[in-house]
Amino acid sequence: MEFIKNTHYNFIAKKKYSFVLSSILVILGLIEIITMIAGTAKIGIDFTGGLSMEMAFKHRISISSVRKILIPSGFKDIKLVKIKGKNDIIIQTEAVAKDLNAYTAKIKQTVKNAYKKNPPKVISSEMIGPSVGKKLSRDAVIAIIISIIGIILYITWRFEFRFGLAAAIGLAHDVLALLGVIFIFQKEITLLVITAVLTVAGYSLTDKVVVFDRIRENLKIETEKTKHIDLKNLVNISINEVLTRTVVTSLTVILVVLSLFFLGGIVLHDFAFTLLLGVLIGTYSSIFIASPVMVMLNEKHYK
Amino acid sequence: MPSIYPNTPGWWKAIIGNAEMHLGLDLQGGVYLVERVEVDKAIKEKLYKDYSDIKSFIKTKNIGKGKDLTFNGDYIVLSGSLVKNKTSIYSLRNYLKNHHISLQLSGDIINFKPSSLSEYKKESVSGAIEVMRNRIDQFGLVSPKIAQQGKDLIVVEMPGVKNVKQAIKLIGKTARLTFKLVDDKHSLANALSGKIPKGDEILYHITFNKYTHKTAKRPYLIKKAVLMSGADISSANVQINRYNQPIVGVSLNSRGTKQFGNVTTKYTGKRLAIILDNNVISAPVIEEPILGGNASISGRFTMAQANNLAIALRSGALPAPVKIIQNNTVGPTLGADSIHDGILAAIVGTILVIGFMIFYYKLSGLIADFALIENVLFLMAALSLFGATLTLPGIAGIILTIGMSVDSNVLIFERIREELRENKPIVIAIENGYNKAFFTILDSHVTALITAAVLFYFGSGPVKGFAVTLSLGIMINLFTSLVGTKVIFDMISNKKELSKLSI
Repeated sequence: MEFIKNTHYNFIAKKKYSFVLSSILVILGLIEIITMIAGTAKIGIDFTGGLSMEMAFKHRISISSVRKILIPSGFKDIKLVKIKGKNDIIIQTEAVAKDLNAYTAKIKQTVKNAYKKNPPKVISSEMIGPSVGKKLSRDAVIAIIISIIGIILYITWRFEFRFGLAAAIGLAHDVLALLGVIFIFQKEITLLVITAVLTVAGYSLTDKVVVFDRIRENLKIETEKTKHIDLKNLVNISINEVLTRTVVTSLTVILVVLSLFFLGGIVLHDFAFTLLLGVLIGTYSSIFIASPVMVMLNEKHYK
Repeated sequence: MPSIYPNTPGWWKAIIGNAEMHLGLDLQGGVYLVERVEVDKAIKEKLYKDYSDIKSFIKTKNIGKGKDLTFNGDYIVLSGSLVKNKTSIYSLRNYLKNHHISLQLSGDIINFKPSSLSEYKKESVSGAIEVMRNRIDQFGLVSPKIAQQGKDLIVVEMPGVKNVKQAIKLIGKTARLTFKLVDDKHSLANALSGKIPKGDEILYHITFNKYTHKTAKRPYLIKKAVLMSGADISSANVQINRYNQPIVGVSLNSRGTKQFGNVTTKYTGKRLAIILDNNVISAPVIEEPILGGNASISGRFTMAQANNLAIALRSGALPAPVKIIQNNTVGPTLGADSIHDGILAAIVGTILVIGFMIFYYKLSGLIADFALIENVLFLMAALSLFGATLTLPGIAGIILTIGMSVDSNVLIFERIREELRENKPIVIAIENGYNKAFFTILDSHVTALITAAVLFYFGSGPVKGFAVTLSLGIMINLFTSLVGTKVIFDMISNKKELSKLSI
């Protein structure tokens, strides 16, 4: 079974389109980062804190059913905790409204309307601070920057500096473009979404290494044959040669992520969404961004 | 095995180890604590300490009588000459301005400025959260949650770990370490009968006899003046002394080293009491001045006690005492439906990948599937050995490993197909496929590992846990996808001359 056989697409020629698209996404990604720092981005209660209220129900209650009532009513980012041995539930949610009492009353009313036979009482309602310090997001940014440097060094050692630089540009592109998509869809930055972005950062390089490896191999063969190398053509041939690999490796991950997206439930929805786009962006950028960038960085060298 | 199947036989646990995988708060719930930071207590203590400073300033500068300055429990009161003499008031005001910026003198009362008071309250709570987070991180709980609630409450959620009691004790420990002098001049017996000399107090050394299960209290007559506090400790570690007992070795920063040198020089030959939260840990005689900035605390600790003390000293003292006002056990935050959905997604995802590999690579795909299952099992085993806490994102991470784990095999198989297209013999095609793909796979794994390692090093809390899963997954995958499948290929090609390879 083979999907792709002997293709001869001219990928490098498409760079004028891909560079425009990517620039837009990267700029949006930068905007997302700026709004995150400024505090205007949609950020989950793990980072911002919010409202924490404890409700005592008269009879047994399951948090799944409370979740099913609150989410359709517009309370999106909620955390529910059930206290064992009691019929109490702690609801944690972002406090969108400035007026805490009104907001508490709104949640209470929503729940009360749904549980006429099992009326809840509000035991306490207070503001809760962020459970994840600011340090975490800062740490993640520092970690990504340092790993970009580490990757440049490693690929420079194994390949050449220009390959390392192109791979690092690809990685930075993937993270920023993914944040750009998050900005477009106005997804909330939660701990899970951050985890997804970091996973993409770790995974997106494998594709690029596969393509670069083939380029290097072909370069070696060609330089033995001739002095005048058509780098664009060589890179195109290399991408086409490993195209099956690029597609199939991404496909296996996408199969899993799709099953997370459709079957994983509400909680994993945004996580799977971010991963799905991350894998797509990573695959796209190995062909349309990292490789053309590599050609541009090397053009002088081979002319 | 014990990580996924709790009823593993005893012999298995004995030989292989009994590492169970902990489930996180989201999957199995845990302890939900609400603690109140007793800010008012901390404020009174702070004011009392400032009061002692001001008193010694008055005495040394000779601007008034010591008895004219009193502390009534809520604020500092001036009387007599201190109120009447304008120059005294002037120099007192100057002193406060330069040394106690948070205090103000109004009328005959010294108290906190309202702005500094609220600032101090805020700082005590956020400081307490920071210290608690530090301690919990060091205690090795992977995914606890700590957040401020309201003005002075802290909510701590911990997944259902076995030693919850110990953890609660550790995070709530004030851990204020002080060094005070033992009063050897006055009689302890007199003091115990009620005649405590001025400036002294009675503190106890409490020991627990593990055979009789009784606690014994040994009283000490201690001078109240604090010679030194634990604030200048730069590190604390458990060490073993020559009697094979655990002790806590403490290193001081430069300021602490100087201070400790001065104290031990001045009081050589006297007994120095080491006091933790009003309990005397030990009261050794200062045999010679200690100038190097290293000291050790011995007090007949068990290993666990010594370890917890070291953590508490390292993470610093809580800025204010905390009191548990609510201690509940809570159910999983996700609810049965979310967990069910996650597991269903995992199973379906695995079946899709396994099916795809067989569809696309036939029998070879089946071999890759074998490596995939091996990969997932090894990862679970490694995670439980490391005592990792499994959360829903963790499960998602494992599911993702399923998707990625066949990637290396895809690279190898495509290479083999390439070789076969050039009409090379099957055995050589397999050999070349593995050899040529090896460095590509190695390079791609190392780059991913660099990212994971950096995340582990710089990340904290949840990011760190995720980095552990990611790096273990990458390393295990390198092994299973290369060695795990090659062994099977070798077995097949050794048995008979292959005329056709199912790929």
